[in-house]
Amino acid sequence: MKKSKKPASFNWTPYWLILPTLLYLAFFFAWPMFQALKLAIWEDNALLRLKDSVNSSRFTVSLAQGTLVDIIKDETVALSPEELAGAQAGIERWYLLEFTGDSGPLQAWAPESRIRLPENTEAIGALAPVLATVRSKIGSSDPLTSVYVSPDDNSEVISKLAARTEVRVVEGVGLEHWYLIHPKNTPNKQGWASANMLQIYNDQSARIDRGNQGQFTLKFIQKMFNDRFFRPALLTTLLLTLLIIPVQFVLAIIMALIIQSRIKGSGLFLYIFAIPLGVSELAVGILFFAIFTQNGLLNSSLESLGLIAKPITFLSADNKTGIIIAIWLAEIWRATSLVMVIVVSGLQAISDEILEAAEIFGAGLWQRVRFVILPLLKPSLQVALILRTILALQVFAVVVALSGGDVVSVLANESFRQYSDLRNYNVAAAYAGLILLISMVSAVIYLRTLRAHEEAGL
Amino acid sequence: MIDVVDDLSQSRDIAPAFLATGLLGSEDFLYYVPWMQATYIMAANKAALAYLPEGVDLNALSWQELADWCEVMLERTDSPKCGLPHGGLFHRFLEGYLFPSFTGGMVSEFKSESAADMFAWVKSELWPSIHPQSISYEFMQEPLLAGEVWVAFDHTARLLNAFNAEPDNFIAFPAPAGPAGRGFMPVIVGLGIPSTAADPQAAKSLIDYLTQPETQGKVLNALGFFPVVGGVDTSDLPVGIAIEAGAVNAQANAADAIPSLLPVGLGSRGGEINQIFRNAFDRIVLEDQDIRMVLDEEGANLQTLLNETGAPCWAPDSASQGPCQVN
Repeated sequence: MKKSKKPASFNWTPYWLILPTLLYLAFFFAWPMFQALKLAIWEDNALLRLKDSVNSSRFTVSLAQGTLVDIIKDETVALSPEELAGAQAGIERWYLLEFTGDSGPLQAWAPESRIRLPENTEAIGALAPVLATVRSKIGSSDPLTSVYVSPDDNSEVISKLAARTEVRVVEGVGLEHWYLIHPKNTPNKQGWASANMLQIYNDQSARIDRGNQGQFTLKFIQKMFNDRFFRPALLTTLLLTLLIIPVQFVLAIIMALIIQSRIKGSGLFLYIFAIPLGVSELAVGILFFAIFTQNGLLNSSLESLGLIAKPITFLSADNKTGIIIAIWLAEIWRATSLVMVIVVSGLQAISDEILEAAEIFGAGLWQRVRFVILPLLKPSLQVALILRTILALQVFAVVVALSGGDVVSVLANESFRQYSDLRNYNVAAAYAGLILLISMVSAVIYLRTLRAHEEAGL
Repeated sequence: MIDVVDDLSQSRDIAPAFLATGLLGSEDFLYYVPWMQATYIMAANKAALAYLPEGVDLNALSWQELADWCEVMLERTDSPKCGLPHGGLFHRFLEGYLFPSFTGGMVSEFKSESAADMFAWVKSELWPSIHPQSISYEFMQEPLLAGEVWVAFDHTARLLNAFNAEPDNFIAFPAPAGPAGRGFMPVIVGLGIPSTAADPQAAKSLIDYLTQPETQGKVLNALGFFPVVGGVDTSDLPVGIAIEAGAVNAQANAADAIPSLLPVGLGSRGGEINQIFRNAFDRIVLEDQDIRMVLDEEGANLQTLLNETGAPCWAPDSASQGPCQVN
């Protein structure tokens, strides 16, 4: 009975298990990463789309941000109270004022910037008449405020009011200015743009201040390549990777063999070797700075032993080698144990029978390491190699602590400089993308070369 | 912000010149209320005065005289005695002092002949007698107090500890002048309220508090930033500030003074212009690259930055229609 029914019902269980994984990958991994990398190749608001008339929704051409344009004509649109309530920047508001002139009551228009409404007044178009005052002027030659016959500062001036004059605001309008523009020397590419997208100069010309449409660009990546610090940072990062990894692997294998040697108390070494794993990268950097600085631990102990007469400057701007050696030592101290942990677990997976067999056939310690242990460790070494290379490409805090980030720089530090000091998120993203790319390429190379050897060896 | 100032002005006296800077060139839109001001000056250990070439007036020093002075000290004491904060606010030294003094401009003259001459001079005459540790100096007060350098340039707030700790040992004097004048950079710190602020009323009260003469006195006492309102009680000042005040006034009121503003109009990309000035110096003076090539390349970077941000020229460059141009 059961058996005959089973093929009919589809087994959904594995798919329900996969779904959360996919959601996790999409929302916590792919999406943020895509957003971050997009910064490197996508320029927001790079283009301004021009309309074919003020009230139309059709676009004529797109002009790049920063383009210098000529103004052909302009148009002023009065916004309805509803439009005003939802309007953003770039709206010019004018108020119709009632005040007592020399010859009795007068009415005139003044721009919003000159009139101070009582607090909590909704500054929109149709407002109930309120009492307001004329704002004072700062740093201007004319302390008086001009009021006009219509809401336009080119219209006739009715009167000039002193600061703090009391007026009654009876009406308000919101105006939006639109300009028909074309790039200088190319009159056929014309269209309308609103004032808040433009920087308007007083000779019938303007500059496109911001756009409303993004576009693909390589200029951030180009900027990264042209950055003065790019080449030294790339070279230092690669140099450090090359210097650190071989030494770490030799040390880690020796450390792992000591732990696995089954000598009495050898298990204790695991705990001692693992201590640096618990120390943060920055703390290690500061620790090594304290060792190598002018009056640091190294100089003072050498001095007290009478080996040197006066402190040696290890870390100075004109001694890049000294700084790189200090970074190298700090990184080896800090991260060798990570490799060791992986190698130890790999060693534990090698069965005793194999080692015993090798010993019975007369293999010495070196021969056992070279021909039995290392080949069997290959998978764990591969994992450790990939992990360590990725971490070496990310080296940052130790470098900042030891060199201040200026004298000796690495890629991660340049990403940080662009992000934090120069506030150029796009170039920072380009640097981050480059680190990702190098990491991926190196991982692929490791996977390919080590696998090929393995197959040939078998 | 005009309304805030209007209300504040009832009870205090904000210096109109500082207030006007808050307009940022606009007619009647005030972007900030000035809070405090500072500048960069020179400091010297009195021991250095013995080496000052004959007939040189500290208050009317020229860059050449400073370089000569540094060289004399280097030769006679066998160690460099002049220092610059290359690890600190060195870009202001280039933007507001060297460039205006030698070229009369900051941006517009960036790659001019006079800028090239200036760098050649810095490289051959000034930098060789500057302390090599200058690369990492952030605050000049520390090397001054340690006796490592005797003559230094820095921000008033970054020299203050030296003047306070050993007022009898240190003197302050205005920055030197070059062929075009005495470039100096007044710094104004302002307070603004974003239009989207959650509680503008509370922001107003904070501005009210920070601009009271008593608070301004405390700021001066503790930070070495000078007040922008009148009526600050100066009877109980730390000695160091009194020393600095003399130099600040002499510098601002010098007949050949060229006030140079901090870069404005670059928005969030203000850091990039500093990097461009620093790059030019580092490449020419520290890395020994060709002056003309560096100025052309970095000048192109500067022009791109100005074009992208649309920033018009600021003092000491004359006002521009459209993005400021590197001539």
